[in-house]
Amino acid sequence: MKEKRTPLLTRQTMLILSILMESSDPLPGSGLATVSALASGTLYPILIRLEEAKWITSEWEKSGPDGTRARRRLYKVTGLGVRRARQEANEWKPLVERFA
Amino acid sequence: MRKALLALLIAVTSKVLTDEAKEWMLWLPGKLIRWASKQFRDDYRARIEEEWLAHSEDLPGNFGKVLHALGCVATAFKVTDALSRTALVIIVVPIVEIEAPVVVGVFLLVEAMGLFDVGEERRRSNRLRRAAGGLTVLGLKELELTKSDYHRYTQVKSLAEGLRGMGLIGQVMDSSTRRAVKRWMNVAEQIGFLKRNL
Repeated sequence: MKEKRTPLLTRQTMLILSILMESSDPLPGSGLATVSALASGTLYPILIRLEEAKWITSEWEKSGPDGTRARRRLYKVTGLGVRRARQEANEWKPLVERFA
Repeated sequence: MRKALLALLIAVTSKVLTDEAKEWMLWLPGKLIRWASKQFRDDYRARIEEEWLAHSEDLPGNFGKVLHALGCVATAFKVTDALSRTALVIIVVPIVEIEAPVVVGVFLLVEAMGLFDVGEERRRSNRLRRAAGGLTVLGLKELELTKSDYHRYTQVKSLAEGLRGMGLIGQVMDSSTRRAVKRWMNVAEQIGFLKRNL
């Protein structure tokens, strides 16, 4: 993979962070794709970069009843992710209010 | 009757094509996801493959699975250096494969014409220079000329005639070719001088 860097806080990145912050349970990639309506080609690069920056973490779900099905990876936001998202939102606030 | 046969043929063909497309749609997503996950580093590969396959299983319909798999390929291109590696395989390697035989062929042709065979000419030139006491004027000693020199002269002469015939005389050549041709022209002139005067 390419070198690690701070994730760019685009609209899609903020959307993913907000969905994870609002959800009480960890969400799989497919669930995030459904809620955010983002395509896999947009969603997964964001998830990979956020996880590398430790803004989110992930863990395997417990395998299904039959055990043959591929396991889902469940994502949840970290404290650092919440802080950075709120900080960014506060920075945007005055700018957004100008358009209100 | 003819119309009925045509309709039957169309129906059978479309059924076969639909079945074929369905099989491809079942096979393609897994293949694409495996290819995309292989672009990641070794310790990450298995994880990302299982995660993407699980996502694919969650999707209803084969078309959605194909779209998801294409998204996984896009992810591999965005996050890894797979794009440059693929470009290398798709663009650079074929160019080299196509160009290499042409370059080797041209080299062999030029070699056969004796254009790049300047080593022997240089050795002969040095031999003559030594024999002439360091003077660079060549061809003073008849005995220094060998049979192969005349052969070279014939080669160069025919080459010059060939070039003239093709209208290449006076054309811009790259520096190395120009130097090589100039050397052989000098040799040809010197041999011609010797032939006329000795």
